[in-house]
Amino acid sequence: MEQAIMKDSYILRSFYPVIFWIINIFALFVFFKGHNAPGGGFIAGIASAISLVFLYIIEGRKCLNRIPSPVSLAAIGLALAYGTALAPTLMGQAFLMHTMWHLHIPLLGELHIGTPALFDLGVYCVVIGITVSIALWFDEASEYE
Amino acid sequence: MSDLNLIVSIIASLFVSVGIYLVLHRSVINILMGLGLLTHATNLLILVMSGSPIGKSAPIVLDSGAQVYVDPLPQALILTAIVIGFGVTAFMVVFFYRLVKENQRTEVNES
Amino acid sequence: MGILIAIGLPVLAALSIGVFRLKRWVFTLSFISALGSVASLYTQVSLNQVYTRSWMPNMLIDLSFMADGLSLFFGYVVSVMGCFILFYAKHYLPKVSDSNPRFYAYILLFMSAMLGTLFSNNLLLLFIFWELTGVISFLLIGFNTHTEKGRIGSRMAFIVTATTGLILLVGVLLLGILYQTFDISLISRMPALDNTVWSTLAFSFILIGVIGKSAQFPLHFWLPNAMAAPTPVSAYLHSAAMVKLGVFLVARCYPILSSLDYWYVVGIIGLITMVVGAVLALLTYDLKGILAYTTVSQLGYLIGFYGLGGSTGVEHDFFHILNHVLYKGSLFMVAGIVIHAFHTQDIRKMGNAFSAMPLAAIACVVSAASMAGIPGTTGFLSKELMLAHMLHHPNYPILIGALVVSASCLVATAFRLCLHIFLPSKTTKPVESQSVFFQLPPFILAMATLIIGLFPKSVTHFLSQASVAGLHIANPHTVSLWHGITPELIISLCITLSGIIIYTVFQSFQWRATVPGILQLDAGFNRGITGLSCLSKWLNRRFLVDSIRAHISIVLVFFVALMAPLLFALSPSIQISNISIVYLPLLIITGTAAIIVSMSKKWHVKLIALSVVGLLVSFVFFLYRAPDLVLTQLLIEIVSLVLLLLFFKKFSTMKRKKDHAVHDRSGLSFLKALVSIGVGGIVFVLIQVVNRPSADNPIGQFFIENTRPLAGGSNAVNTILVDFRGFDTLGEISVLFIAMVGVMGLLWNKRS
Repeated sequence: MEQAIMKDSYILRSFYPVIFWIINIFALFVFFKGHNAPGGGFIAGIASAISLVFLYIIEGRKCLNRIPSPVSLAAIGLALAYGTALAPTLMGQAFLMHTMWHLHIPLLGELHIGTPALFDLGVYCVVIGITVSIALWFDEASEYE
Repeated sequence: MSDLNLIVSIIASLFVSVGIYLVLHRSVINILMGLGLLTHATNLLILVMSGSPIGKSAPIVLDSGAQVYVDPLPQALILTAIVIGFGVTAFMVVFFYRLVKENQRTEVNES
Repeated sequence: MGILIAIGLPVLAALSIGVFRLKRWVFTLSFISALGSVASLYTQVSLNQVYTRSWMPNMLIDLSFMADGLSLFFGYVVSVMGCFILFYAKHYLPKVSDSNPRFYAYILLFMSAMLGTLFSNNLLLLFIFWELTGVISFLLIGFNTHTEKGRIGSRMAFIVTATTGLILLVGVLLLGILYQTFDISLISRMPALDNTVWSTLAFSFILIGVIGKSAQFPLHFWLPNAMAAPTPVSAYLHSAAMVKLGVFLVARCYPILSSLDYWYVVGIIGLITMVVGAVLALLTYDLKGILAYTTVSQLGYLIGFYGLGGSTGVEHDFFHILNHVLYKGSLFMVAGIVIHAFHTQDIRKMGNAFSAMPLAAIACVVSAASMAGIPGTTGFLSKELMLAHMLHHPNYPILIGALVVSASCLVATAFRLCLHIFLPSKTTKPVESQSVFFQLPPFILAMATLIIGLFPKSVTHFLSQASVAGLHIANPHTVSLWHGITPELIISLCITLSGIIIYTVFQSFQWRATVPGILQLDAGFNRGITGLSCLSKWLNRRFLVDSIRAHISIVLVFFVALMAPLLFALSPSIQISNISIVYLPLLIITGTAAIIVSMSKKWHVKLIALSVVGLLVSFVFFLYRAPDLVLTQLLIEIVSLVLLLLFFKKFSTMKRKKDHAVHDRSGLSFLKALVSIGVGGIVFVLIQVVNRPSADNPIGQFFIENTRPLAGGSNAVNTILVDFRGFDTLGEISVLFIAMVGVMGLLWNKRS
């Protein structure tokens, strides 16, 4: 019953899988390098959200059934961010106090794994979740009536 | 005040003018666009507050000696503002969609 | 800890009543918790004990509690009277009623708030509890929500006490600024305030708070109106507990404020209130109104007593307070029993009640005797002490005169109460007899009045142990029943005689006099409230326009009109450099795009132009060396475009009526353009005025310097977002989440 918006565009349909992965690899890169170079959870989140929204536009609703629902993604992200913020208070430290570990990973270079990354992951999930869910609901709005 | 700051403040004031002009319209499309312009204007205003960027480098602190960096705080504030602005735009779009659907008109009802 | 238990137990009981919606055992639970409160005060709390827990250290607010003689004395009064009141209320309230649990819960909450005020060791904490008592008092006065008197009375009491409470807050803040701390136990150890403008201001603001709370002239009018409350409430809040807070605060501030030049104002206000209240008590026929006015008078007596105190301190102030609590609590309870029996508050329709309530009658006679100051009661001793105190004052003729007038009126009122309620009268029939338990609480209180009056040493010994440094003088005189024939005794005799004369005079006029119009301040207050609501209705009718656009325009016009002169005054300081050619294309393209957005009639043209604007904004970000912003802006531009396209896609298929053909008149369009250009101009000048290079180091430098050592990342923007100001980001993603929930509500809410 539902129709993908741009089902008829042959070029997009053929090239989109490649574009999808390019966007997401970009997002991953930006996410992990965010602490030291331009990027971070927001930018990566919007990039991934764009890839998913386009996937929806091209493939329709069914392609999104494979990933967790955007709302729960947003909720998990929010919980994660608040969790990282609150966790230090349980250990007697200040609210939002971060701890870090430094790692060296090939390809990505020096990497800082720590609670800032977890916090950023929360932001990432929230941004994806709300962007995709708003676009999705908005497009499907007529089906609820 | 440097050239760039002056130009950007003119642009920002222009956006404010056009944004206000659009918001005062009846049509929901105009209001939506006006709000978008006002968001841009506000972001630019905050940006101007960080002072002239000429001769400074991006706030990414590398080991390469002492440099003059631009103020990172307005940038962080604007980044937040952009994302929040998107949230507001999304909400407004859906809100106006709902409004148009209920009234079957593309204009905000007077009275 | 004991203090916390005493404050917490009633709250716990009240909460459990509220949360579990208890129907039965409510009284038992409340009574046990009140008793527990008394017991923990008695066993767990010792003098000069301080309990502190940090709450908001940056704002100097701590959860700090302290027990000294003053707070312990008041604490006992409040908690013990609370037990009496609860017991009394059980018999006063209707046997079966849905609102009874609510009543007990309110009373318990009030008790906690009172104890909190008394034991607070932090001036701001004290203020918080002070206002809480006012809020709960509002709930209790308006307990009978169906009566208009209750609603008006509670509103009046709340407005008066809350407004003066806010003024008190200003005084408290000033005091905190003067002493650099809000800690009461620290402040009381510091030297008293000097006479400066600020200390006088602090004193006067605190005094206004006291006047409001303790119903002093000219704000005394709320107390008689608060008598719409159920009688247990009147007996507790409006004679024994809440209105005593003003007295408490005066005593609390005595060590630091009594050295001020204007301290005597406290005495003047107290004495005026004392006389006014006593006279007004003669002019009313409402039983509880009479008691309310005598309470006003006695509060003036207590506050005036502190106002007359010297720099070394006062003595026997606790005795005066105890005296008033005992007899006034008892009288109010008797009044409740009488009203219960007669179903009216009009004293002219009463009489012949002795046989129905013998214990209450005895209680009434003893308490009224105490009020009149008949030998053998605490009232007599209190009055003798007061007279002795006044005789040593340089202005003693005026003081003694005021006391004689008010005391004589109180004597007449006491006679009136006893004779008119209980003596046989021809017009009223005997009423049904009342339960013994109902009459027990006032009887016990009255007996206490009598016993302490006869053997004062038994109590004054305890009270002198509770003396507070700075408030009380070191070696108080002993109190005894018989001093020999002194001037005080002779004046007392005169007071009693003139009281009897006043009684006979008023009796011959059948008590027909009423409160003169000039003193009916409550009517004026109500007129003021009505006037305010009329004013706002009028303003609404005149200025309210039912159009969002008109509202926005009005706001904007005012914005321009108010800002323009200010900016004009500041504009000479602006220096504008020349515009270099390099950036001119940017200005031209951006301007064109923005104008296309506003002028074009086709939505897709508008949309393209808006996207161009967004891209140019990201170019500006690039010029400002902000790579994060460039990325974000570009990506957000894409998502917004997708959303707007979805919107227009729906838009084109949506069935809709024809849009209004009429377009805005050209005049209106011109006006819109004018307003928007004005706002834009103002914003431009504003930027030029605000944005001047600041000499001192901006906060941005801190982030640049610390992004690597503290946050371990070299991108300062990102470390600000996730680390330095991570709290903002938390708020931001919460806002996004809320926006999503809002969208969900808008889209899923279908009207079937």
